[in-house]
Amino acid sequence: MSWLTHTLNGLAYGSLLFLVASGLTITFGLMRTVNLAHGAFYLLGGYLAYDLATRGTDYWLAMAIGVVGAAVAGMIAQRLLLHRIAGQELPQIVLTLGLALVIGDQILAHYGGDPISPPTPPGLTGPVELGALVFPKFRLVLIGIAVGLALLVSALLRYTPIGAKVRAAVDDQEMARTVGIRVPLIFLLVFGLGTGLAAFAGVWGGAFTSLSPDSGFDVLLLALVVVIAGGLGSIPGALVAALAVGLVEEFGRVLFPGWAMFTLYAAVALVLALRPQGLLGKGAVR
Amino acid sequence: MGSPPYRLRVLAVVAALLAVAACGSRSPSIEGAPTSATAATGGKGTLTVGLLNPLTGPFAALGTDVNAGFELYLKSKGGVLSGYGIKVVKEDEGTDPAQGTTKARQLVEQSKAQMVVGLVNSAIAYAVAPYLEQADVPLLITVAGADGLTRKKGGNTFRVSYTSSQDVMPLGEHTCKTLGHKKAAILGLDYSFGWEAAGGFARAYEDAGCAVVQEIYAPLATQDWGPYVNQIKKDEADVVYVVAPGSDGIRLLKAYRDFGVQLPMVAHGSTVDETTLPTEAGTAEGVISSLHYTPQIKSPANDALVAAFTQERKKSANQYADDGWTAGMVLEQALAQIDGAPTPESLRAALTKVKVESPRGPVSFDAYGQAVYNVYIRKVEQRDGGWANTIVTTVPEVGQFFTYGEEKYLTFPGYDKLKGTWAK
Repeated sequence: MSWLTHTLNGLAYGSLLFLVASGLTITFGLMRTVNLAHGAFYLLGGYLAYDLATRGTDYWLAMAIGVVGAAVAGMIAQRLLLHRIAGQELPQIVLTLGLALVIGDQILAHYGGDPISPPTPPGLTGPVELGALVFPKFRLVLIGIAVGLALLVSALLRYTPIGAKVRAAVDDQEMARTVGIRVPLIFLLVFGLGTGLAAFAGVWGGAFTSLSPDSGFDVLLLALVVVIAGGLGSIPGALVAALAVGLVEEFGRVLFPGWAMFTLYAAVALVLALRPQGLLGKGAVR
Repeated sequence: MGSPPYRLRVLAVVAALLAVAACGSRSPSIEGAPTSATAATGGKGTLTVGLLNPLTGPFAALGTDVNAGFELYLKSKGGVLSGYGIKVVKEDEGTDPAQGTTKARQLVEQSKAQMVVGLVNSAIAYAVAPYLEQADVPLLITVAGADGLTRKKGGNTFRVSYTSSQDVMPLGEHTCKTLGHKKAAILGLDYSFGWEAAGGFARAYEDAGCAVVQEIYAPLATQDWGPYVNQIKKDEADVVYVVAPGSDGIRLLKAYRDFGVQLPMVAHGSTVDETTLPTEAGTAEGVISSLHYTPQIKSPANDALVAAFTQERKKSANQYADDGWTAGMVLEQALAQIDGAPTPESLRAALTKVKVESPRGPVSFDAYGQAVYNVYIRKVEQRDGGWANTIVTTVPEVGQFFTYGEEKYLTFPGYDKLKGTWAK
């Protein structure tokens, strides 16, 4: 029975990691924009929703404003800053790192450094009991959300005209421009989608764990692990990698508690040694 | 080059940089407290105090609270303690020992600090304390808890805050004898503070006649406590003792309630202190913990701290505010015993004799420079629409060696060696 609990919990934690990584796999994996500010947008969404919810705004409205707010902030950053250095990875690293520090310090100045936690979505608090199995409702729902989100975003990219334009814009920018695709607009929207997803993860992930001005980088690190192990730009890859990381973390902590930090990165190193392009990566496209 | 728009742009950038620099020099904790520019002059002279607390990094919130506590006390005295005008110089402790030592050196050599107050991170404290001893500048620690920092008789280091094991030894006894929980599972953090705080509880608990049945240690900054909470032997233990300050405490409590664990919880006080309690809220209900402070203490001294701190920082007073405030009171009483220019010897001699009535109650120092104070066994309860640590009972005059006596206590092996050996 405890094995079932551990497995479910590993999947739930993996689902949280997927929520965080889904946005990054779009901005970094797909658009090839190195975005070290991903964790900062995660915080931005979480803190906005927390702020509104504690002032009495309806939970779902607070969440929506948090997500849209961070998406708009992301688009502004893309338009004003990142747009100018498209394709230049080193300036992107420095710029987005600086952006992450600025956002983190603004949060510190505004909300203080004590950790906060956005509320658990209404109706999802407490455990469910299925026979002898006691498991938190919220975590169970999280697994469903992650799988649903993965399907939705994959379908969006694969089967819709917008998705086709995005793939075209990413694969060959000049050719896409010549056939009339508005590449800058596409990039702007995709970046907004990525930061919006980060913010959504901040609202829900913050309820799962908690948020503090410095937790953005912890999240970024795990998201990078998932995106790279899953294969750059592959949504199904990110889902598989996230769930695998969740399970490895869970069982690593149960079976070898003294090696908690080691088991995860050892597993990732093994994956990359055998498949440098990641689990479901397409190999070297460039 | 030299065209007006270019020059304008340069001007704009310079102006922006100047504006940023001007903002940066402003103290992040409180305004209006004496700074180097506004130090009040006292009848007996001046004393330069270096405040060395983290203003950036994961401990920034704690450091800011300690500074606010110290400076608010100073402000309440008009910047003069026992006739000495106090000149405060602030530096950022930072996040690693090298940076902390550099800043301590800067305080001593450039700012001519005659005394250093602060330190949150024990690893940094272990590096800074020997430097200050060699530089002959007394050190008053306000948070860093490593047991080993105050193990030298008649040394240069004093500490108003707890040693990691000091506040929980009374809780071990209380849990066994008063609460009657005979078998405990320990859920703690896997680093020196976690081992010492777990070991102090386990020692007193087992010596009171009860047994630890399980020890679980998780790494610092564990995101998901689910795997650890699920390992608790619910059939064997009848109480869970928890050590998890900061955001770890929030996550642990959430997982504990989400997975429906029904065992009662006792905790190191910093797991449910006022920095995290508003966020933990209902998940912390009923947790019994021990600490040297709670804002619920009823005394004029504590009323003064709570009023000043709440007004300034717009949040509840907490142990860190008290640590800073009490450091101010300690300094005041030490200076009262001195005439003329304070020397390192006179400061150290005066500090050993201090006995103040601080917000947390009476505070004095043992021969090793470690504070002796009341420890409060508290319970998290709802009060006035918020959550509070109400006092269950007070254990008076708890020292770092508890009831063991220093000679016997100092023969015990270090808690890092004892980790994992408590559970039978």
